[in-house]
Amino acid sequence: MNNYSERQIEDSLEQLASAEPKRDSVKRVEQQIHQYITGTTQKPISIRSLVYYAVASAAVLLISSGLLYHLEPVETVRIAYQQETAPMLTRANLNAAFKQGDQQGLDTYLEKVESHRQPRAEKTTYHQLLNEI
Amino acid sequence: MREKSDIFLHLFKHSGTKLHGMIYRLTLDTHAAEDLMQELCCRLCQLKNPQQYDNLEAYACRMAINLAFDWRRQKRSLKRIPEGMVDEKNRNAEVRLIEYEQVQQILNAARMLKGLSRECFVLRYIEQMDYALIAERTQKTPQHVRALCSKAIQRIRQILNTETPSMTREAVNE
Repeated sequence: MNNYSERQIEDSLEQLASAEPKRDSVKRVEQQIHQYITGTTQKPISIRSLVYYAVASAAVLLISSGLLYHLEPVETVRIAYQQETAPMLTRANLNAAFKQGDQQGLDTYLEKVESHRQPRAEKTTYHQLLNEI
Repeated sequence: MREKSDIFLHLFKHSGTKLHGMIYRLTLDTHAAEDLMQELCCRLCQLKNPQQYDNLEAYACRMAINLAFDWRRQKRSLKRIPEGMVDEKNRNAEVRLIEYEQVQQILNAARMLKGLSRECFVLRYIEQMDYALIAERTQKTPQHVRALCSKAIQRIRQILNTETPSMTREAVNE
């Protein structure tokens, strides 16, 4: 039978209390726990990748600005606006202008017909009426 | 209100080394201590609402003690003597082996202790904490903690003295 005294047990435990894990083990566990909690492996951004990002961003910016310059988006918008706001060359509009005797209005339509020279426009009632006049 | 990850990061930043040291002293195995620290981290992160714990550190400490003694229950074989436990210069191999075995026997006997008694025993005799601090952690009075520690030591002595004889210093000298 063993014969341990309480003093002996306490002495053994005091020795045990001085035991510490190795420093590299503590460091390794700290890293693992940090990665587990945050769910990421934090790596610093290198200068080379930073330069790559900057050059790529500048190239994209230059190409997109060049394309926009050649397309002339402002002029395109203006033409579209004119087309939308100009009086429509319809038979009803022409008849109304003719009946009202609005010469300026008729001239507008005439100019439009001349500029487009569309066969459909030449066959309108307006031309027939002009011939009759 | 702080986020869950922030709470655990803060906990492990301030108490991680202490918890790791305690687990190492209870297992006396570097790899087991690392594994159990990871296990502890996983279990703590599974807590749904860590904000509700008044003293999360004490909870983590209790969990670490339980994990270490569970490991000890599953694995009872003795391994190599951990470095730093004894002064290698002044002791010969026999004495170191005896001391190591004695510590292992005491820790195995501590497995028999019940929840609070075991916690108080570990915090007092292995972690060398004051009675007042243990009382604050366990929400008991210092007198109660003192009584629990005393009873724990008596119980361990009783267990050790009734177990089969092992390699003691006297036995080796004989």
